[in-house]
Amino acid sequence: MPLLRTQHSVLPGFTLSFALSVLFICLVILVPLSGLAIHVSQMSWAQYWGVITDPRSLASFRVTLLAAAGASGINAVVGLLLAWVITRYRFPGRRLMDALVDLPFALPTAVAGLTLSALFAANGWLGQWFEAIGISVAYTPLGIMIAMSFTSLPFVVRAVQPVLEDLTPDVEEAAATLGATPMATFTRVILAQLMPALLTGTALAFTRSLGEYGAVIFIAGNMPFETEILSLLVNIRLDEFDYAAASALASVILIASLVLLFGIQLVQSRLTRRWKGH
Amino acid sequence: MSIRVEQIQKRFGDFTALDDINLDVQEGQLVGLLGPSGSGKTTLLRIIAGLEKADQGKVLFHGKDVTNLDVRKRKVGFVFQQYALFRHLTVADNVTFGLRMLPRKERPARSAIRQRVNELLDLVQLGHLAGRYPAQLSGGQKQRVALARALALKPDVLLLDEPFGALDAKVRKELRRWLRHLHEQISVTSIFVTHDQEEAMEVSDQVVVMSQGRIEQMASPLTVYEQPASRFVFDFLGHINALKGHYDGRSWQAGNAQLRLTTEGACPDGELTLYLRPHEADLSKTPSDSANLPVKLGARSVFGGTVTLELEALGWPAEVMEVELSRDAWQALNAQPGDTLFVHPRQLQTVTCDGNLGPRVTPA
Amino acid sequence: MHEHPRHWHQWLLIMAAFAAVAILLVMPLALIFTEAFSQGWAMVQQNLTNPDMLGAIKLTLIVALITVPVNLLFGILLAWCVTRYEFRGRKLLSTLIDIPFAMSPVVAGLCYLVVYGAQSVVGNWFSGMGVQLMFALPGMVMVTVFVTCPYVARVLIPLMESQGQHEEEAAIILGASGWQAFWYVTLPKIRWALLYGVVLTNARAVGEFGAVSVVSGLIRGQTLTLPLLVQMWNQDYNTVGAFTAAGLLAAMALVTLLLKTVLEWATQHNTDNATEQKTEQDTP
Repeated sequence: MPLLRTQHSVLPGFTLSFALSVLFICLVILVPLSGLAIHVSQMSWAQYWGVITDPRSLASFRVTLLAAAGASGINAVVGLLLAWVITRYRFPGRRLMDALVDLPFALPTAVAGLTLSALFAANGWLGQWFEAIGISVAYTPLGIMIAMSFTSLPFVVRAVQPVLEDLTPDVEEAAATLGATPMATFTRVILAQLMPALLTGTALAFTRSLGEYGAVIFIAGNMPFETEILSLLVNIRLDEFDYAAASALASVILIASLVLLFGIQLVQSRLTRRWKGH
Repeated sequence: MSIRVEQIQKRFGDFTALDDINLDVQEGQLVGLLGPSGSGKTTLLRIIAGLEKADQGKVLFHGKDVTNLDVRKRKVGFVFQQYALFRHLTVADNVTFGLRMLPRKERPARSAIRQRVNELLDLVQLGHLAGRYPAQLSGGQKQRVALARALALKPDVLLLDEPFGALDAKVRKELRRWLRHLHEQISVTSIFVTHDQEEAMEVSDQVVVMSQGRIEQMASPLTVYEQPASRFVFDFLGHINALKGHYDGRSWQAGNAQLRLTTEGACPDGELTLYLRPHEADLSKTPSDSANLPVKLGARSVFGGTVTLELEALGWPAEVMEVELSRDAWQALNAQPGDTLFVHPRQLQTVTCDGNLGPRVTPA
Repeated sequence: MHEHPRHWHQWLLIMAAFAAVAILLVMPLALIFTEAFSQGWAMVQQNLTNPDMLGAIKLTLIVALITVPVNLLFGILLAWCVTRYEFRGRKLLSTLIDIPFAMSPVVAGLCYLVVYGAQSVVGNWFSGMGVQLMFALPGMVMVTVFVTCPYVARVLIPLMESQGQHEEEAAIILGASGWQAFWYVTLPKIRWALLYGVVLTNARAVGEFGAVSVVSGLIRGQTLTLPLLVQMWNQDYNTVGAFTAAGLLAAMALVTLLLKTVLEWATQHNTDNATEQKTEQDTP
């Protein structure tokens, strides 16, 4: 395929691997996505807009966005803390901590949802402490935030870790010879270099949280207008056989996720080119 | 700013990195710390900078004791071997960094900072790359940025840790010359560390030869080469042809080789080792009364105006010898590989029985 | 870079990290097993041998057993295609594979329902042949394949990129066919990463909830996977039962973590060796 290939390669198998890969991606990823797009486009604009601006829909946008933003904020701080401690210090239990960070990735979301809701219930191990100071976690947006925070924590840690490991001590020494205080060295030199990775990780966490379903619905209480997340509303509309509304709402999540995904990729590749030179 | 180092001691666990180091660097000098790995030169540099703390001893800048002074307050400029540039900042921002770290009352106005940065970038000839990032620069360019950055705060002392170690030969030579030239323009007291003899000899006002945590000799490059203070210094600088033989009071002999000379340097049992430097010998097709060292000509390599010849000893035990001749001398000799030639040393260095340097001798 | 903490503020950070891990990660895990065993070992056994439970386990395993090989094959194909050739759209292909990673599982389920459901073109054709896609096993498998397809590719692509293709080229020059080059040269180099990708894919396939719940129809005994069973029993107020199912899944998760750590170390080892070889090749 001379129009497609930009460089000759000795290795055979391009046609086969390319064709099969493209076929797979089409069948598995592109067709379903475009199917949704087509389905949505068959709705009239008025109908679409009606669904989107329905008060219950708007409430679910609000709940989901705020909780996801809060969760990402928590993750940015806690994730940075964990990555810092694991990379920079040696202490007993470090390796265990490092392995445990991946627990949210390995644990099924339903299991996470079940146990978090029990943990933070009014009489739960942790929930009782919160109740004592007057804060309800279960069945509130705070609970949603915690569930979202749990499932996307690894994103931040794993994004920051490799960059932290790459930092050589001589750059910090250079800053010291130039008169920088330890705080200035941390903010101007270390954090500045970590920022892209931190932002990428947080953005990925945010994207994941927007779509999180299993972990949230156990602890949320799922009250319309209060603690109903967008994914749940989509499911509810589906159960009502209101495919149109479900598709319309789903399209919102889809567009947001795709925009975020491509945005992250773009920023990442631009910064890699600038800072690493290739 | 003169630098004085007194009785510095530094140990890492069981390993003694520096043992009773005393050093005096005068204001405006460019001093090279030369030695093999493990000699302690980088450790000494870092102690002077304040990046490491000595176990014992003092560091004085212009008479003031800075031993316990934090690195940030020492006003040293430090250039690292791997440049240590801030890769998230442009070239200009890298150079500005030190100025921005100054406390508010000491910080110059923004326009003054910009002017200074432009001056420095022009000084290192990188003005046109001010907006680039380190990843987009070559090794030589990166090192020049590192230098500009170190000079931004007008340090009293400039310290360089193997500054050209990571660069290839041609760039290294260029930068060496350039550093020397820079030093002539901005005569800040500078110390640099290197394991490359040629570099130390070419760039420094004074060379400090170090080995195993001790200073072997500190002198001008010429002195260190012509009047080495110890066996180590002699061995370390330049190639040595070692001639081991027997001295009977009148001549030195080994196999069928012979040198007529007078010296007190032999061992009681008559063993005598002589060191011959490659450029301190002539070659001819016939022996003389004072020197009969037959050799067979092996490989030859030409570099610039010097020809280095590999010579195999004929009939007497010695390792392959190296002799350097000027191009003209080589052409006048008109020899082919395989020819038999004779070495005529102009000067030799005796080595005493206990391994130190003895007197120099001339065959006659 | 690792230093023993010397200053008090460093220890403070470490303590804070431990606290975060304890609250967010360890406690939820511990609670699962505590609740599952709260009525004793006998109850656990009873729950584990319950027909609904056994059916769910069986279904989960079947889904995983189909999903993993499919994605393994696809992942290898894609990684090979993207890292061994230069062509227009290479970056695009590589980005497309990340889409399932970023998508909400419920939306994924919906997309599949719309495109492959009984009322769609494709769904109609299949029903004509008596095969039901959605609200049955095929649909559940398809959706799980979607959700887990990035994992193998994401692990292989950076590794194969950094390993370079010099060895495969050498094999071709010596007369190997493309298939032989892959089997004898590439495969041994990537086998740890491959295993790692399989472990990740499997973990996700077993645990997928949102997407599968949309397309499964939640028919007791027929289309309930383990995660769906957890939800169903929880809604039935069979708390201990729900936690037992959860415990089973959590145990699998811990095994996954263990395998992951071991294989991560092995892959890192491979990448370090590969990069060393590459640098040696690049310097004349």
